[in-house]
Amino acid sequence: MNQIPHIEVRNLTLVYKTGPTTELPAVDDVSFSIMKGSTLGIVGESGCGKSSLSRAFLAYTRPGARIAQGAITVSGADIFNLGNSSLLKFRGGQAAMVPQNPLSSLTPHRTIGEHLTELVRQHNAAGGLPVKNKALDILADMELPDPAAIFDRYPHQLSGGQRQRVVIAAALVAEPELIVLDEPTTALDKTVESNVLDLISRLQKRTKTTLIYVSHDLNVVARMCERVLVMQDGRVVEDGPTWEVFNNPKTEYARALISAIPKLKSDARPEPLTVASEARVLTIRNLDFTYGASRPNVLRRILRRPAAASTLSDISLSISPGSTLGIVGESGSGKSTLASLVAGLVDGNGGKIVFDGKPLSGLAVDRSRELRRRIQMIFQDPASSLNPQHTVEEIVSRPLQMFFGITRAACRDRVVELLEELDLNAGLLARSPRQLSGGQQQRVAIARAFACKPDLVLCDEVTSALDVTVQAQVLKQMKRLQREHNTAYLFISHDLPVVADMSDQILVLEKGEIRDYADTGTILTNPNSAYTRKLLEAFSSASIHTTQRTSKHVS
Amino acid sequence: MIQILEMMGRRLLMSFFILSFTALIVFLGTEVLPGDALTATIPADELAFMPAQQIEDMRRELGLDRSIPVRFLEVWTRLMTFDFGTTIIKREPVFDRIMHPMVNSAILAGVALIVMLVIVITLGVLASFKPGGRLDNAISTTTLFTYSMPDFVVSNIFVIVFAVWLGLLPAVILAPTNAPKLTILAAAILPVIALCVHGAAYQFRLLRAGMMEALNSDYVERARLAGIPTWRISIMHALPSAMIPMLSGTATFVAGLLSGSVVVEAVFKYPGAGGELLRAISQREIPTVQAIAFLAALAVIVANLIADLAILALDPRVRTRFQNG
Repeated sequence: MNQIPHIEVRNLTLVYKTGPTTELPAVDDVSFSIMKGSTLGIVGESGCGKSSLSRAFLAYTRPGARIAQGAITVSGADIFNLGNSSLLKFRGGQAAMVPQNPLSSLTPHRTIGEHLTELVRQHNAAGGLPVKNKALDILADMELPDPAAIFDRYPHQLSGGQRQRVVIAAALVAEPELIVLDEPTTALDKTVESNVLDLISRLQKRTKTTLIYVSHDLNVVARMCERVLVMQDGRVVEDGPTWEVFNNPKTEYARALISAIPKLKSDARPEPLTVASEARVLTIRNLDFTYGASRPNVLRRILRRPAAASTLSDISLSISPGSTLGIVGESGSGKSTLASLVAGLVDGNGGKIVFDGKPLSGLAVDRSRELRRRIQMIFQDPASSLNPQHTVEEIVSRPLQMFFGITRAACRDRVVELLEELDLNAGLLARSPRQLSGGQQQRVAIARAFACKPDLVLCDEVTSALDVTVQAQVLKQMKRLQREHNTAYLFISHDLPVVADMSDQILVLEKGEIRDYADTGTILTNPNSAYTRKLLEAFSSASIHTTQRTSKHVS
Repeated sequence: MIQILEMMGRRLLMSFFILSFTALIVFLGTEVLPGDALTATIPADELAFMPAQQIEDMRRELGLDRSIPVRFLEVWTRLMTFDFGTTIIKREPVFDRIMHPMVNSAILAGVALIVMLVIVITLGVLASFKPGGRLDNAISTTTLFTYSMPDFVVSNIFVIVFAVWLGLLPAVILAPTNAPKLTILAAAILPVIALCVHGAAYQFRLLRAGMMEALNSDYVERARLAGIPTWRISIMHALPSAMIPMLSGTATFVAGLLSGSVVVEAVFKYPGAGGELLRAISQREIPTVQAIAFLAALAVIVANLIADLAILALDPRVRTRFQNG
């Protein structure tokens, strides 16, 4: 119908200042155009320039960045040459951004109502209505429960999903013709994400808004967008209809990106371990736990502990040597609490956690050195779990010296060996964690855990912070290490496909209670609880394969 | 609300211990010095002519013959009930002696605090419009310079420039301590500015650091991307968060005002508590020293409490934390 493109990007190059005279391009000579009312996905690994590009659609660059050349025109207007007042009208009025992190994107000391009414006034968006009514309407559009109550709340009083809806409401309140969403659901749980995506899709179809969706999550892009751009090092390497790019990628990079996506397959693990061996590394029987319950109330008041933040009730499980038990649940389900109890970071297991036939004492400090060696933990954020003052060599050799009494000189060979097992170069020995990439940091953390020759490794969201390709690599290495060392994993994640890929058995937690506990195959094909089915649905409805089917159906 | 009252209750309890400790230190400070209040207060040549019996009687009358713990307990009870006793020689109530100087000092400190906050917030907001811009650099450089200048240097420069060279204002203040407060206020102009120069520089640096952090936050970026004008972002979105780290510094500034005003009052001959304190120390007028030190400690505690309440007002997250007790 309308043949003039809504948005045209011409030879756009965006550079970041890296030194007094040096600049590095984040977006490198990119050109494309978008039709009105269409949906475009931009995908790529972190650092490929997709977020810088997404901000450029609003004529915005972060401090230190500048547009070196090229232009973006929206409805014919060159947005980089707008005057100050037309720029303020353009941003929020014609084009809106839904930023990456909903949790920190709302001003903490302003109520939700203040956020929305400010924008309604700024962009004269009330359309004759009282300003407050317009704000309440948009909150209702976001399917937020009790908009009047939300209106008076502060951001920290809302859940992550609610905050994201508010951020989207703020972006949509002035009815822009273009919405740019930069990883809008990365910080959300899977089922919440699913709802938010549905909502965005419905609104987009209703208002015929042009939508640009930036994400590293290809499943989500497949679900949301008709067309996709694949970016690598600031350049567009593929551009085409989503199902075509995803099913028939032309470049090696896109192929790697797509094959790295964890998929839900019922035959995820070809050789399911026979449960014939009666040996158990870890057994938990009827564990109940509430934070602060073990401490007298008065003391808790003084220490100002939040009461009953996360509870577990009637948890029973067991892990045999060399196998993996996956624990899936959303934030607040108690999965991390469970890991903290086993690791002895939190007291109060009441002797119900049995390790190698003997009850584990509550806190790690009360456990024998041998026990502390045999149970290791790997955390989600390696940047904060590795001491930034130590070199890689010091980090990995510390447990060798402590548990095996290996002298400093003898350590080095062993450290190099451990690093090599994780495909890390010996040249990294003298680096500090900050000088490593996220994937390298996490592998150093894994090497440190395996330096102890553990029998059980607790993995708490270990790959959640990594790119899909790096994640696939790390998971593969973890599986290899497990085979070679016959180590058991307690593998915790909110990401069901990743857990399914890693685990022999899966335990599904919701609100501290077990919803399902069975072999991986059974969980994926024949789950017991409605909750697990909902979880499975949230993951599979966002999968590329569904898109392929629907797209073909349409054409 | 109950939780906030609970917090204040906890604070008051803590203040009680801090004040007791202050009383102890002041008491010991005046106690370990050689001689006692009597021998220090009465000139040596007068003492030489006094019969030993009369001195003993005076000691007993003043209670100086009793043991140290008993006397401390007495001093402590007096201070806690705001009964500051009488001076040693003239037997005048201490309260009457220190009331006017204390009020004068409170005017000086209060006006300095308000002027300082107005200057700092204005500069902080102006500088935040263009971080790293010319205005920001000019303000930051100037404040770095004035921050490194001690109070007495600033005061003397002011006297030379404004009083001696320009003759705009008198070099020293000749108002008596009990002069009408409006006269005192007029006389306070130079001392107030002298006190602000140093304090404002430090407060500005705290505020600027807070503003920079807030301006780099996700919520400010969201507001910018939503077309909110720069001035509104600075004042409505960034300033309240940025003021929180500054406010604890402001409470410290109040404590600094009290010691700073001793110097500034001396330079300008301002009839305040600083001068009275110096006089009382040199005359070993111990009840007066105790009273002034005690009231100064109280002022610092109150300033901190006000700063905490201001933080509660600015940050709803802190309020929630209290409500969850």
